[in-house]
Amino acid sequence: MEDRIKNVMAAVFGVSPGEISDDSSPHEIAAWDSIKHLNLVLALEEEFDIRFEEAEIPSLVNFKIIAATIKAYAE
Amino acid sequence: MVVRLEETYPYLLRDEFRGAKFYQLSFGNITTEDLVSQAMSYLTHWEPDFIIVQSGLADCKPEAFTEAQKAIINRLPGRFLGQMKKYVYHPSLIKRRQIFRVSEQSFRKTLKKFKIVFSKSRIFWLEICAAPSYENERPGILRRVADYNKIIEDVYGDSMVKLQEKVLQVDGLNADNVHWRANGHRLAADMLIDRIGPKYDMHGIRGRANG
Repeated sequence: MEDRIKNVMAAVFGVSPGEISDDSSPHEIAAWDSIKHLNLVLALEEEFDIRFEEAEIPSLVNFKIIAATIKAYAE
Repeated sequence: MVVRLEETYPYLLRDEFRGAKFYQLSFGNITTEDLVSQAMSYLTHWEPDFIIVQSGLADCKPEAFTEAQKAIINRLPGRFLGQMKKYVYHPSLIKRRQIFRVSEQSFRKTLKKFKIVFSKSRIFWLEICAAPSYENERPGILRRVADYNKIIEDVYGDSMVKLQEKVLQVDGLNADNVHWRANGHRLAADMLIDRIGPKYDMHGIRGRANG
């Protein structure tokens, strides 16, 4: 699952999957702006066939939180 | 009854564990998802030893209107607003409409997410507490509180701090039926100290001024 998330993030932000780490956040990835954030949300929803709740979308600000959120949906 | 800052359980814990670093995040009337979102964005890289969460009442509280509907009502011109406001929290309307801000499924997911993000921390989640007489104001609240507490117990097991019965025994809830009196805070602090202090080798971190 984590590799799939990294692949999605890499594709959205135009970096290699190897550059995505637990600490990856808008502070580390220059391309992670508000538009890319929405693209990321849509891409993750499509990849994992889930629909994030409106309230949790702003909190998806680093890889660790994104992974935990998707795992919580999967459980 | 006014509760002084020094009487609240976070303050009492700071007093008990003077060598520990504390970070307190408090918001009134927000859902657990909103609270957890704030906590995660600030604290994911800190990985504290212990996290104490008191949240859930806003999630399960029955309402007569949705938040969006309430926002519209609040924008009504003065003369209509006055008339409408008495219906917003009218018990019979709440009883009939039973609208909730957060579904049980969503609440469960939020709890799981928080547990995954802070997997290296020991999380204590306080049982949601409400006085029996709150049922008169918010019909349906007691059943919802019981259901949501069951979810907390399912997800957090014995890390849920069961307070409800004990708080009621010491008359620890305020006249508003939800906020704690000083003795409710003292009870919560003592229960947390009992669980954190001896079990997790807090030697050197504990220490009150009076010994």
